[in-house]
Amino acid sequence: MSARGAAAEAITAARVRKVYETPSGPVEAVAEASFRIARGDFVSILGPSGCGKSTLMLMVAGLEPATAGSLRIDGVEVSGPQVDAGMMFQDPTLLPWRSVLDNVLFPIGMRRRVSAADRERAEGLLRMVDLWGFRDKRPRELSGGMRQRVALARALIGDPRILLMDEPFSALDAITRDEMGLALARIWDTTHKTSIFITHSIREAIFLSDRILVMGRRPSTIVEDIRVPFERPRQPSVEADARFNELYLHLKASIHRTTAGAA
Amino acid sequence: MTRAQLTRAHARQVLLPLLTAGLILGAWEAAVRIGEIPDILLPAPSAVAIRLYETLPFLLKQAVPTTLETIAGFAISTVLGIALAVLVSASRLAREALYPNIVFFQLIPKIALAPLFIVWLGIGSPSRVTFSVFISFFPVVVATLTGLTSVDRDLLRLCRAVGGSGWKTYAQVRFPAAVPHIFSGLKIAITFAMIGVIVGEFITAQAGLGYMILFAASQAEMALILASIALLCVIGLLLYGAVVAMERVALKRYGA
Ligand SMILES: Nc1ncnc2c1ncn2[C@@H]1O[C@H](COP(=O)(O)OP(=O)(O)OP(=O)(O)O)[C@@H](O)[C@H]1O
Ligand SMILES: [Mg+2]
Repeated sequence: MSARGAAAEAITAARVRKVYETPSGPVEAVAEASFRIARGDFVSILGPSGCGKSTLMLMVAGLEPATAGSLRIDGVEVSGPQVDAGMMFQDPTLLPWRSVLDNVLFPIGMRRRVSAADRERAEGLLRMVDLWGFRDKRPRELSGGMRQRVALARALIGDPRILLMDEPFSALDAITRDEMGLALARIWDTTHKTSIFITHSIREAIFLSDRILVMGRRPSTIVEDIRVPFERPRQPSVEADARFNELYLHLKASIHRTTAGAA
Repeated sequence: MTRAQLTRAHARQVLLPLLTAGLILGAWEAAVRIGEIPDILLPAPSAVAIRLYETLPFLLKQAVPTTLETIAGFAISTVLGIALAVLVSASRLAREALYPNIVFFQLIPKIALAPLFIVWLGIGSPSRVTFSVFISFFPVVVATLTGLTSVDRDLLRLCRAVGGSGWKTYAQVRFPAAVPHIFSGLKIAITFAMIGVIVGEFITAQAGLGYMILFAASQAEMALILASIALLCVIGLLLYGAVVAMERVALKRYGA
């Protein structure tokens, strides 16, 4: 891995806080989060449900303003939607009336005219996610895992500087989920995108990440920041590594502590 | 299912309701004949059919304004209803200022207001078409609004994240997503539009099948009333069928 100086820092969060104003009063979603993510790092965020992971990601994407603190991407303060971020959600959120190829091109079409070069890039991405043969199909003709792969290709179409994924595999069955994890790891191996990956699966987080942040509940802050020691490219066999299990148990206990500590 | 089974299931769907209708008409015919009910009270279906056949050229002439005004009312309702829904969903100011009023407007017993339209617009076509729009645009507004706001929250986030304008989000996401909903509104609107025109014809008493019914009633021509109604049903069915056909085409493109 490259040396990590200040210049190699892609995302910097300093004492970021988020309070939602709701009709029934303010809701503190993120109390105070500080972290730095180096360019090209794949970082997972683990934490109990409702601790503010999605909120944190929306703030990084510039879709929700932070109530306090500072959030920078490549040294620039986030102040609005980050066009340079590719996003994935728990649901594929594809447009059912468009073909797979046109779904991948959707982000481009929202900004400007789709060019022949964009089309070529979309086709390349569909090959990468193994959906070339399905480019003219409608989403309803695809399985859940295939739809998420379309969403992944769509997230990558603008060659984003960062990739933000909020539990993208949570709605999939266990076997498809493992396949998707492996596919994502392979794609990361070739693209080295700076990534934030939210998940509830500790194994998935260890397998995919360079670093894992654990968020605690109330007050929600980053309670742990762990570097994953395994070399890349990752093989499924890392799960057999004794350190994998050690890390797994450690993270499990850590998450358990944050939930048990909650009021 | 095999092909034969499918055909049988299909035939059942068509034949069973036809059989029911036939039984009811048969019972009606029998009741009138056996009970010797006078024509002036309730003519037999056969008498109505004969009357319809005799007066068909004349009734068809009356059907022309009724049909055209229904189509006009429906078309204006469609445009107006969709435009209002877009406005209300796009602008918070419009939503807060307009929507409660549109809903309140719906609570007015609209038929009671029909005579006012004559005062304002006279007894011609404009008055009937306006009244038709007046009672048929609301289902379009509600259905379109439901469609426009049905879009997944994360998908809308994605639209903002990729730097799409509000306009683009409407054109490429919200509006296409609303198409199936819009058609469910249009199917209600087409039947309401026809009711509006008929009520208008009752009141303006100039021409049209509604007027024919009123006229026939004044002459105690029961068979003519029922013949006019039968023709109205056919026209209503054709108009509804046309909307369903458009819906089929639209759903092929925009359906899930
Ligand atoms: N738009 C909103 N308005 C008001 N409150 C919100 C909003 N979004 C989230 N919250 C609240 O903020 C808190 C954190 O929500 P968030 O969705 O960020 O949690 P999460 O860690 O992603 O949870 P999960 O693991 O279940 O996805 C919750 O209490 C939630 O109810
Ligand atoms: Mg979440």
